[in-house]
Amino acid sequence: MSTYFGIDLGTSNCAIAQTTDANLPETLPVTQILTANGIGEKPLLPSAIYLPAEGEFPEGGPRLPWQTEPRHGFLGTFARDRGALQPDRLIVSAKSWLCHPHADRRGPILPWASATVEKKISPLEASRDLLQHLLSSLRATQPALPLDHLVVTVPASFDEVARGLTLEAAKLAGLGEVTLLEEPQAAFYAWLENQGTQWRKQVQSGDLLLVCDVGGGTADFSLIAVTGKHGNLALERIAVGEHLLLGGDNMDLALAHDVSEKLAAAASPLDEWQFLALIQAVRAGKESLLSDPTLKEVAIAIPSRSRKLVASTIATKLTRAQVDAIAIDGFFPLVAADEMPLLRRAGGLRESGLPYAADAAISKHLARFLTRAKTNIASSPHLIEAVGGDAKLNRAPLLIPDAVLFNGGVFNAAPLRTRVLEQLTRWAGQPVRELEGARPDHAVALGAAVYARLRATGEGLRIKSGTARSYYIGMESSTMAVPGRRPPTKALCVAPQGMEEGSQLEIADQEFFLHTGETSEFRFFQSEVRAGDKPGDLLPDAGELEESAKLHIEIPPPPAHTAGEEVPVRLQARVTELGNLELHFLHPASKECWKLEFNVRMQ
Amino acid sequence: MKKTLLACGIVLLLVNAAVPFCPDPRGNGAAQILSAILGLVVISAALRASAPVPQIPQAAPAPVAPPPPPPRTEAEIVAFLALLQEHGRLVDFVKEDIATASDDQLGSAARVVHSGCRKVLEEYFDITPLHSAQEGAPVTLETGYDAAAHRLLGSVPDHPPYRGTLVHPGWIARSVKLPRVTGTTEQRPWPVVSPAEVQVGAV
Repeated sequence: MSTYFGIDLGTSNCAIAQTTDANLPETLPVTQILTANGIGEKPLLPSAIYLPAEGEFPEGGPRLPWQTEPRHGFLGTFARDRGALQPDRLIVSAKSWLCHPHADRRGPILPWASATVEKKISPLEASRDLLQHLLSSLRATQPALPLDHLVVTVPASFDEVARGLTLEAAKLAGLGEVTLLEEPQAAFYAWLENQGTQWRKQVQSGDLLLVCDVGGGTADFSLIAVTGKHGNLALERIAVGEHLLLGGDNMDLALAHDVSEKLAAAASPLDEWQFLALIQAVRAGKESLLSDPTLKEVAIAIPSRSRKLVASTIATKLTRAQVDAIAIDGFFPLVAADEMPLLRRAGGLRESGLPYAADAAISKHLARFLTRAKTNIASSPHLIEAVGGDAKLNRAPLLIPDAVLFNGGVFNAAPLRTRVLEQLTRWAGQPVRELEGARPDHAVALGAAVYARLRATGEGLRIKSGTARSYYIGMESSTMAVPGRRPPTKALCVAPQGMEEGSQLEIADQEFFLHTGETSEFRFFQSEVRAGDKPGDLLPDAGELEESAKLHIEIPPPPAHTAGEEVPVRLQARVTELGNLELHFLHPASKECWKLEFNVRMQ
Repeated sequence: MKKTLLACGIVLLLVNAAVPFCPDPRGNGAAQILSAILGLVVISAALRASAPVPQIPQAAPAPVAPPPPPPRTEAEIVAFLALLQEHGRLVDFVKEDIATASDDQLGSAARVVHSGCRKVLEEYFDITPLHSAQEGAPVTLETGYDAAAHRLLGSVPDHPPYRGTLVHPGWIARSVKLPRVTGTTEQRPWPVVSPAEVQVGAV
């Protein structure tokens, strides 16, 4: 009997789940260092890496059972707890760096802007370390189990470059070839598994389902259409959102700032350790208030780190009014359908850290997502049909779902789910319902294991997806030079949205001339809202698209050609079985084929 | 070395013995004497080689470090106390002098200890009430009742059944999964309860 594994490589926490043909999926406890002198198992592995200073752990600290030599740093619960007190030496959110187009993702940049750590590591290495730890923990408990069926999840907002880096990290970690799955889809698979045959009772053909995933540090939206007729329902993922660095942690921080300002006004300002303790206390207080509607306020106690606990603890309160104003109205305000969030402007003098969302209102980001999703679907006849026709598409300025599947720790709180449904109902003019039976905490890892089983056995309903974006390469226009006017870069579509796994296509009408022996560079663009573009379409201005990397290639001279000669080549796009995009140049005369590599270094 | 010399010696003596059978008689005498002398010299050298040749003294093999001793029971207990201190500040609280503290101050501190220690207990133990009934409910204990799980108060007759009311339902740990202790040494057989904290940086 085969075992299928799913790994949730999360921004705040990682998890690993397994399932077999016979059993329901379950998460596996991960062995990790829990304290300065204790090792144990926990169901989640915090995605934190702590790089201690010399002298802090002269013998290297506690050793994991599979460790043969002292490690450079710690990973997991202890790393997160100890690193909280030394933020300069802590690496968190390494995953969000993988899709940061302006960062050198292979270079030693983490911990970001750390003045004290000399031996930094790259976002790629950090992801590799986390995956390696999960693998070692699994191997320690089940050494002989074959790992043929392994799925790793990535946010739907990850573009091909970030997906490729994740695959590379998995290979470096020793996981071999893994399949990637989008996280909102994984959450949906977990829901399908949980519901069994009952899922058809909750949806019908023509429904649009929104997967709304707001975790600790990120928010991810996806739309899935229910198609098909007469009991043969089918699912298709039709729109994905952008990478939003906004989540439950922001709420806790906002509440903590509010409380700390009130304390400072009352002449008891907090030092940085007290502020850290305040964030923890406020998180617990917020959860109590959101889960019990009868409570009017909760007492918050903020200890200092000194020994005198009773003498130095500061007492204050967190009121329902504060939670309502900040957590509910601040992050989920009821807005009009055309209210878009403030966006960061790229360029200009700006601290080049992670691109945290400038606008904390998640409902505005949701409005932006639904507006862009509508643009995307309107551009492709196939998607218009999947949604149920023009009439359904145009009934509102946004694309309104019929039902919502909630995922992520934030939606453990019922009032927040109610608020999102209320917002959608206002935009739609008719009720929007919740899909019952969601399990916000481990759904992504469980769903990944279910998907691994699905791919291997072929049994079960599969969500039709393919590439979530269309991809383009930049072509400099060949117009006459006019002083003072820079001709816009054109963009040639090389891979359409929805290109399926295991497929390939050639851009027939476009021939490129490359110099052999020299590195040629191309700009690489993508779009989430142009589903209608076909391969070979030339867009007049690449400025509308997002640029994420450069492509470079150096072609050795084919037989019968010398170095430095120009050879004609054709471009071919392939999506591998694992779901990642590859671009190749073909030389028709000699049938030779070379792969374009992504250059992920900073521009 | 010794065997080589012996072999050479024997070969020479054989040559010596074979010389008379050589067809050419002219050099025989000299060859015979020469090979005899050489053979005897080589064999005596071989025999002397059997005496032990002084070897270059080799360093004694590095002593293999003995495996660290398993942590003592106290180490597990102190590690648990360290957890309650880390998350719940229990030791700070209990060691502090509270005679002059007001109830409000004490209450705030108690919240910190409560939430932290509760988190530790929930994470590493599964502690549930022993008796399912509510406090104040009537309870009858028959002969053979679980004596380790019940404590009798008040006026207790000689023999069961014992009729009374439940004053405290009790607690039982259904499972225990504490972190495994590491890093104990001869000098430090159990971990520190709470390390001293030094804030490094701008003074």
